[in-house]
Amino acid sequence: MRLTPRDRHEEAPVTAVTSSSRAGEVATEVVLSARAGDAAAFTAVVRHYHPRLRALASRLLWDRMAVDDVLQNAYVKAFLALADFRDDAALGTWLYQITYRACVDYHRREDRYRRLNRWREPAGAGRGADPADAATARADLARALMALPLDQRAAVLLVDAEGLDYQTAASILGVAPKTLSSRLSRARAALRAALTEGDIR
Amino acid sequence: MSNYEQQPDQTEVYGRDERLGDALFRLPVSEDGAHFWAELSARLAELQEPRSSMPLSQEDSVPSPSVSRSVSIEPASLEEHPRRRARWRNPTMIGAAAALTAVVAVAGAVGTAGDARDPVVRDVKVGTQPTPTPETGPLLTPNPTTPPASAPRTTVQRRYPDCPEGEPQGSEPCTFPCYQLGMAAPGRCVYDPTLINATTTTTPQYPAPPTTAPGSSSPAVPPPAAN
Repeated sequence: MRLTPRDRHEEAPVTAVTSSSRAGEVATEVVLSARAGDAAAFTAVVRHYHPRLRALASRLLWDRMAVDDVLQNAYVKAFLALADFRDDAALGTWLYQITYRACVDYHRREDRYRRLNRWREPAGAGRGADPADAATARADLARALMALPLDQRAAVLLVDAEGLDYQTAASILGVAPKTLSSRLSRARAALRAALTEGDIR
Repeated sequence: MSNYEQQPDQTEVYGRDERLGDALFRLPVSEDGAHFWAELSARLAELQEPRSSMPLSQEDSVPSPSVSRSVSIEPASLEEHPRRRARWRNPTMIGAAAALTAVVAVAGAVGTAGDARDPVVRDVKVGTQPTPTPETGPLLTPNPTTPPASAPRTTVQRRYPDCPEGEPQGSEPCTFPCYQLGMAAPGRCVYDPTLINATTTTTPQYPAPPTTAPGSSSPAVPPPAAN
């Protein structure tokens, strides 16, 4: 199974994505070194996938500090488990899985309602050089996204925002494609409503 | 009506909502913390050290001072742990631990049960002893098993509040250790040998027959030699 993320992270003006996020695979030698326990090689591997993983975690959790912690923990777990990992082609998918599970674990630990209150005004959602309408629409969309259950949020982010195919996204989330489809339907309905409200304004 | 609502559903069964996806993709992504990569590198370096110091397998091992040194340190702790565990699997040790636990549990249960079923012992100076009258009969002949319902309970004077050293003060002739005295009447104590083991045997609810005549102030039974 090959990871086919959308190759457009560089286009996003407000993201912190670097040029290393261009789609492609990490050199086999680097992966082998990382698997042998070379921390520098592993860091190179992680840097390759980091922009997409950070985008997912950031849109799932929104809290920058939390995203930092979750990603670091996910990378450490990946480093410890990489020696047992065998399928080179799915390395990106595997890292997505670890990151998603780390986000889920974090989300479970946190007080749901407190987090929802914080998410009502996501930092930076309405900032930037965008026109006021666009900023408002983004804020509405961000609120609607954060109001979704985490599994629905992840589904719509992986499929619609990241452009992964259903099979890969279902694999990352650990569900059947039909379950993913169901989650997508519910998430899209809620987000479309938010997007429509933003258009009306 | 918005443009979005006018458009048909863009997603097929396994399709992708381009418009929604684009909007989601434009949502801001937080930047890495200033020390994100430095902290990650430090954590990975900590993890890398134990990995590199692990003993090599027989095929890969190269006799070198550094490797042999790590081998001489690491396996020691790995072998000590099972040895300690095996020591605790010894039936003698397990039996001894079980016996000790049982003794402690029985002692605690006996103490608790004794206190619970013997309120007389815990109640100090509760109730009053009826004064012997011709109607009630002398205190020398009480019925220890079926006392009269109206008879007030007589308290075993196990500990006098004003008797810190084990002897009542100011209550002639009660000069014996408190825990061996039954109180026949307020201020009047009698020696009751059944109360010696009051905490482990059933304490009589009613006093033993006093061995002193009513009104007498001298004990008929000598005090125990030693307490």
